[in-house]
Amino acid sequence: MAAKKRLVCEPHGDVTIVNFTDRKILDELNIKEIGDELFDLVDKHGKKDLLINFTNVEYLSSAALGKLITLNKKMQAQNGRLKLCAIAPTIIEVFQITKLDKFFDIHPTEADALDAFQS
Amino acid sequence: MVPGRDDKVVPRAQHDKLRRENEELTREVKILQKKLAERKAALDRLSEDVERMSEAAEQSELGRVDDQLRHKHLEVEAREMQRRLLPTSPPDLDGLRFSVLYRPSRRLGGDFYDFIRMENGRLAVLMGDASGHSFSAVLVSSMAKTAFKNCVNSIASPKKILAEVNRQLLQTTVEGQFVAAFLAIVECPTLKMKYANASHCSPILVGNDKFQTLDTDGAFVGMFEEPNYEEREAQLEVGDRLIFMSDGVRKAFSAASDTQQGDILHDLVRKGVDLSAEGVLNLVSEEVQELTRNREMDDDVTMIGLQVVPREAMSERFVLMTDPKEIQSVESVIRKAMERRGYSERDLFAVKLAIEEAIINAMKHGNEMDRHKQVVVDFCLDDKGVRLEVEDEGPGFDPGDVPDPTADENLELPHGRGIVLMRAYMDDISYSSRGNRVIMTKMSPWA
Repeated sequence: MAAKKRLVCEPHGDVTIVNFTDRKILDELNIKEIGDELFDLVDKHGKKDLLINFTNVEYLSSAALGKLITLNKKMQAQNGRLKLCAIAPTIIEVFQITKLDKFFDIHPTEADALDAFQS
Repeated sequence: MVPGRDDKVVPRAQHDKLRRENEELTREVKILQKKLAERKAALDRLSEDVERMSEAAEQSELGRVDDQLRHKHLEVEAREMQRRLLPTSPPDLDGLRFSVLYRPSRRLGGDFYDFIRMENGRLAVLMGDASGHSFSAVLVSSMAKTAFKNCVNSIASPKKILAEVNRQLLQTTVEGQFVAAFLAIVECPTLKMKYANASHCSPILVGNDKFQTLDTDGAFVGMFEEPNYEEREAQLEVGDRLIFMSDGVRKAFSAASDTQQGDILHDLVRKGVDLSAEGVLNLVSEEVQELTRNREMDDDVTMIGLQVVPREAMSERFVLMTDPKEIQSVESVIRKAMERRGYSERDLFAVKLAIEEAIINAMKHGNEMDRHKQVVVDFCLDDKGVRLEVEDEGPGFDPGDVPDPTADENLELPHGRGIVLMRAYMDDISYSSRGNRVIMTKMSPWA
């Protein structure tokens, strides 16, 4: 039986846009599977340009931040690029407190992020 | 012709006479036959007419029935809309016990009510009554209710909300349609209440040594450009009962008494001072039913009862095995308790994040993910705020030993952010001397 998919991927030119299927998905219970699905995009499917869209993400734990950092490292190793977009203010605050808001490439909207991939 | 033995011989004159009579009879028979044919034709025509008439009657009856059905259908839809105007149940808030009584009249009425939770532990209680008994009354109620719900999210003052809804209704409704409304905003943790009345029936506040009708000046909503609403404040206390009622209630009492209309009703509410909110509503509504027994009830009867009771401090202990799946049950108890107290979404988020990080730390670092080791969580919620203690079975640690994850050189580490987040989202955190127990507190914003 296939495990429930937690990511929805949509190609947009060379960029793969990733959305989450569930709102509270980034809590401890789901984070390992989400991390694995994200890593597979790079390791198994060779995606170089990833845009993660945080619309509907209501909650985020430090473990999720950890997965994003690991993902970022993997992509850098492959000369890939990772961008994040559409992060709600409550969630942005979590990035800010941990000083990761400057570490990741964060854009307010999907359109902004896609533009950024072009330049 | 050969004469037989029985033949009679008839003389010629008699034969002629018989012949003449025979001809006459034949003529008469022919006339009768003709008449019969005419009668038959007339009867046929009549019966055609009857058929046609009864078909027509049937059609118009059908038409009428069809109209009635359509009318009923609209009425059912309108009743459905009316039903949807009513929220299914009052909110579950610590210290406030609500009861609602709604008896619609046979005609479509314009009564509506709503409970709207606002930020910072506040609750809006709305009672309204659109003029008339018709589809348009139901429509206007619906519009008013939606307008109130939208305003309450961005405006905190009852009189300003009434003014804004007034403005919106003036823009959209036909002349002659207006709404009576009473709006109260209660700050649940402090029991401070503000209210504004737009010509609705005044609620009654009764308690120990306290009896008050809550009223302010103000015209019907949707009537005037300059309604000049005002608002007043009241301090609710434990033991108070606040009874909202619609015009249907007041009218029932005023019809029954020729003295001041409020008296019987007020006495009744006073009598019910030791009853629960539900008890008072039942007392009043039974009396209303008695008073209107012999009259067709013209108006909806809508009542909301609020009983102010002591808030309950709560404390609970959770003993968890080292399994992240167990966090969910702790989180939902904490969330529910904080919601009942009126904590904001932001506070709920903060505590959820902090407790999850603390429990994960206990499981991962303290218990080293050994499923058989326990994590004990103590949760306490009272008027001062929220207090959480998390203890694991590990040897403990010195928080000072944990590298600062926000330092540049540590930013790329995938772990180590839990404590930083806990500190940021709770007001105070401290560790036991051994280090296997963390104590976190979040102060009540109303303390």
